[in-house]
Amino acid sequence: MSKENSEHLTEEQMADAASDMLTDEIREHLAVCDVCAKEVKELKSVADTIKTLADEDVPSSVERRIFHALHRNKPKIAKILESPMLSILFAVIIIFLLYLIIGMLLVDQ
Amino acid sequence: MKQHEFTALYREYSKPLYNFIRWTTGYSAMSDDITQNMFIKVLRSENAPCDPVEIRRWLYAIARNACIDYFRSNARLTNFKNNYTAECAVNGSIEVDETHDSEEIWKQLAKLPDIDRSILYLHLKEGYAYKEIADTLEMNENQVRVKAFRALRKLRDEMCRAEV
Repeated sequence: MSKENSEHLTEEQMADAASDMLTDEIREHLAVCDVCAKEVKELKSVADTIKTLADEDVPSSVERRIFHALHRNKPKIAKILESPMLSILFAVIIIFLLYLIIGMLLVDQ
Repeated sequence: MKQHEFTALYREYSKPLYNFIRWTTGYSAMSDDITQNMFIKVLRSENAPCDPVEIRRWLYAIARNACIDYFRSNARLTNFKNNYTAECAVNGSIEVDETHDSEEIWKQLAKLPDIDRSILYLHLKEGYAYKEIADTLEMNENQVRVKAFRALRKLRDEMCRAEV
């Protein structure tokens, strides 16, 4: 790698090389051009450091607000069915219907 | 969007999208609001794509647009000063340390234009190809390549400067 090429890699080729997307043309050039080889090595070093930067979790407060919106976005019928008062009303109606059916059966006998 | 679809989508994409927004905005407090608004927009949308590749692209496009809207509404679109000069890149005498300090990288990333941070995040953290980034951000593929190269070069130069 001592020879220096007069025509260096283009910016697009540099971007590819820094991402290890090496075409034959880029590989051949890097083998003979110290300037580009050094540039690519340095850019790859920066890129590798960026890859190691830690990701953060979504804060729980944000998640809560999103899922609160999700709940509000439910269809009206789903909301009504989830209402505790309505559950009690359903239970009362079912008990009443059972009472009527059992009553009718007993009267028939 | 149906609830179960939204929940599945949220499980898979909330963390990368939140970090994408963090990178793009550079402000943690803003990221929280934008992430929230973005997911509410997703929840209320009725034309979500079905294809997994399309849905990923669609989500990042919404996130990017949500960042732009936020910048516009707060008139902060061009708040980062660019002190870049190309001399350091040309000067072969400056060596880049192999193990950069992550704090220094964050500091230098904050100086980049938001579009450059978006590109670097999608390419280096999420492993997007330049073509995918171009489609997501509605840019030309070569334009994305050049921006990625220049952003990396700028970071390298700024870090050289910080080390000197």
